[in-house]
Amino acid sequence: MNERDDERLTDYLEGRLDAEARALLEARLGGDAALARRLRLLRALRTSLSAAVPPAPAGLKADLRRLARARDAEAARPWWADLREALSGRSWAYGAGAAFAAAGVALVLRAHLPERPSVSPPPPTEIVEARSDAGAQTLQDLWSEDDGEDHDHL
Amino acid sequence: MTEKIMIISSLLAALALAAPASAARLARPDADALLLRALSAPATGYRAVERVQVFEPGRKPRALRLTRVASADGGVRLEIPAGRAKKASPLVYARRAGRASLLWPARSRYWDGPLQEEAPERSLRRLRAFYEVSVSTGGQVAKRKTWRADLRDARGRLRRSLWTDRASGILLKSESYRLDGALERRRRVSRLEAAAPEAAEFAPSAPAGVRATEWTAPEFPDPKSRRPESSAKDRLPRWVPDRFLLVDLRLSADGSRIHADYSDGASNYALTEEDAARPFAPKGARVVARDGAASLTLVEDAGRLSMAAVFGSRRYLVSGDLQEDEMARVLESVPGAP
Repeated sequence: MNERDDERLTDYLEGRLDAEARALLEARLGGDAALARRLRLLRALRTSLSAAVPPAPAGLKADLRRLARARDAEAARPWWADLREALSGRSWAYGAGAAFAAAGVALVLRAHLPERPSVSPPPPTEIVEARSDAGAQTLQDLWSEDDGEDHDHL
Repeated sequence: MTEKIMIISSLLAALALAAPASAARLARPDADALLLRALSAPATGYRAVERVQVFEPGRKPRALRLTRVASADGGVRLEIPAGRAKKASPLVYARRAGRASLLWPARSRYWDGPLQEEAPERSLRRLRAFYEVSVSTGGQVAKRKTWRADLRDARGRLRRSLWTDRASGILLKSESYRLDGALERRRRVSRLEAAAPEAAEFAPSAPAGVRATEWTAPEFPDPKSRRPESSAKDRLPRWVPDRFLLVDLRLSADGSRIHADYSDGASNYALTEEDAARPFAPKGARVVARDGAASLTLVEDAGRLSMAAVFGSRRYLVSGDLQEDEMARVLESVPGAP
């Protein structure tokens, strides 16, 4: 899985793939659990972003992508330097900041979303999406780490 | 001397009479009778404290503690602590007489609706269709002597073990195993006491201001959905294993395919409904039952199990952390199933 996959998944989520490309991707999703998980994460990110941030200025997404690429290329430079630069003196800076914050929240929530079983059929084109409520208890919160022992004592 | 002989003779006679009774007590019960008793409602109500453990490869075990209340008329109520805070209201799942409810105070959510029930004899027939059963002595669970039933699949792999109370027949412990034999899940009762629960315990009502939701509504519905899930709900299974919730539901653009994810927080399974004409030739597939236009296919691939059913022109595929009989029961409860 690479950055190109991310772009393809994003296009898929936004309905920008033609029928053939979409069918190819769905076939891959059926056999690639990591790719399916990535799709789930991106979907949660999109939902979280759309729920938490006011409408972004035109071109924000492209700017964010450029930032991400620059960060990958400039590995020695700390990521927060890019973020600081991105947030300084731009009209859309606060929106971008909120977007990054929401993405962070979504990444944390991702850990609480149930994973799809690894043997799963190809998911159809999504229409009804998952929505995670920030801060709300999840099913996973009902479980806790355990010693795994088999005895009568709780 | 005569008196001593008489005493010894009496003792020997008593021993001779007691021996068959003792042997009868130790005789292993018939496997089907044992399973049927475990699948049936208890003779009297009880309250139990139990722990469910889940084991995943490469991950620490996780556990859920709960209180189970059961009645002689088949009512079941599970109370699951909602967190570490003692005052937090528990999550309550209850079912009785073909209706199930789940109250989740921490999320202000309440589900309620019909749930497909079945006679224990039918559950037993399904179990016996998939597994060979052997019975042995099972040691003590919750300070009670048990019988142990081992369920093995057609290839002889141990898939599940059940420990039932010799006296009451109540299921006190169960373990399920992965296809590679590793322990997957354990449920164990640690305390059991007789109880006479009220009928109201099995039908919790929604708190004020909380709207009742149907079981077929996903846990995270998208309020901006362009295609409401109502178009899919009539096609979803009518039976869901205890505690599992529909957490995600997606439809294809033309509405011909459904993908539904269910979870209890630790175990997950998914159901897909699609046109039976779509190509379907997974590795490790074998047809296990066929009846006219209906067929049941078991798929084993990369150590994972899934099951497909074709009912007329539709194919349903269930995969994930369920055992064979549970998958079959999910598929049998699909509205289009014969």
